[in-house]
Amino acid sequence: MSTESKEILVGESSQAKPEKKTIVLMASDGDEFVVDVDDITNQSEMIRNLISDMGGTDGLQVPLLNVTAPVLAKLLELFNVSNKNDDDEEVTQKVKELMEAELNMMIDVLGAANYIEATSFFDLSCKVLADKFKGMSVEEVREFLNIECDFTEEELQQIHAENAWAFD
Amino acid sequence: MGSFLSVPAAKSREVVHCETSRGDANKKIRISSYLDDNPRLIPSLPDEVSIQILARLPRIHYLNVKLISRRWMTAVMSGELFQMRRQLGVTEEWLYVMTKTRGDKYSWQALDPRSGKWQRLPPMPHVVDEEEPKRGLPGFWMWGEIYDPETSSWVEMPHGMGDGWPARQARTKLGTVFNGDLYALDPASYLDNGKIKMYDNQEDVWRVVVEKVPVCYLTDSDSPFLLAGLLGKLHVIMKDANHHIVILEADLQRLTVSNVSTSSTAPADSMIDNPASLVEEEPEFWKVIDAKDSGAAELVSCQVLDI
Repeated sequence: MSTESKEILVGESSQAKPEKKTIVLMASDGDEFVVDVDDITNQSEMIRNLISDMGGTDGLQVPLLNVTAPVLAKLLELFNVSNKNDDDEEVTQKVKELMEAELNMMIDVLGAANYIEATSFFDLSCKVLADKFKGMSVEEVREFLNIECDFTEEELQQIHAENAWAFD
Repeated sequence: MGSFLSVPAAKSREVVHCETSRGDANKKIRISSYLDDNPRLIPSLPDEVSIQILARLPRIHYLNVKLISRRWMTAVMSGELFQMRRQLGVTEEWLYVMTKTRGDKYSWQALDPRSGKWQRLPPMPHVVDEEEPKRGLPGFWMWGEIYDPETSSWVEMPHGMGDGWPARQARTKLGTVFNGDLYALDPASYLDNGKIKMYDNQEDVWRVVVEKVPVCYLTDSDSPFLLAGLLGKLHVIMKDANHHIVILEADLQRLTVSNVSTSSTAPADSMIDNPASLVEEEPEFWKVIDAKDSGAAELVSCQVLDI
């Protein structure tokens, strides 16, 4: 299945307890990520429910079929930032930086967050994108998201005219 | 689960999504041509997720978003998006003001109180004008159009709704429901100030809550006051001497504080002076939140919609 197995321990911040419970997340390409149970359940509703349905965490392996290893690694890295900080400021900043540097990765991370029901992280990532759109022209949004304009020239002119009417 | 708009080809999309996570430009081009009949909002995201992003965008931006592509246009006019906004609790209250110009032309404008931007609504398509009176109903109009703020368009009112519609009071909208209470405005007369009163349904009386509405604007008796609850505050909309539509915000919370010092006289009359009535001419009670040049247009009505 997998060629190599990575072990990334998420949540070094909380080493106070001698024995931390962990579970294994498996990316779509088979890579395994060992994560701290508290840290991941703090973020992911899906995994929280899964653990409670399974009645425990013993030897739990969660295959994430829609998430590739690089995306999962990035997502866990951002969860770490989020878990270490009481407010969302720091993690919001990191998501912004990711969006500016690697939009495709940021969008994939957003999709993965939705998939594992990381509700608050998902919410703040959506806001980061929505905020970005606020300051952009139509052409900039198209270019930014790689969207093809499929209106005809006449249609565009008509919508422009309607908008011009609306805003005087 | 799936959105209405992405029903077909849902399965193949899942597969495609897995392949594209590295964001390779070539793959993106392939996907958009592959799904040409129904392209996604954002190529590498399921539309359900993109709708979530759009829902978090203030709706003043939706007019521009329409221009991005056909798919985006459909999305910002979809019930799905506005349902999501309600679900997320990110709806926004806007104030919709109806005006009338000389030739009895009616038009609506919307104020987004957060951005302070006004937006003209598309014209109502089937308004009864004087040349074409509808089945002898002198004295009041029969409104057969409903504005749907989600699609920003006018649709014909269903018959049952039109039949039950109350006759309108003469060119004023002096009542509004706000925080679950019914408020009304007594327009000023030559002798008296305009007052705002609140209906007390337990005692079945109106109580004056604001003794004095700024009256300096009342030079033109043709221009009515309108009353509206917007963003948790009571607002009076009126036209001033400079032909501006002025929106005044009344800080009723200050009122509750100030009422402690005032005493009640409680006459037996149906109109009772309320203990909560405002200490006269408290300076910061009224705040102008917006003023817009309206030219010759007169105020007719207003409405607050939270979507």
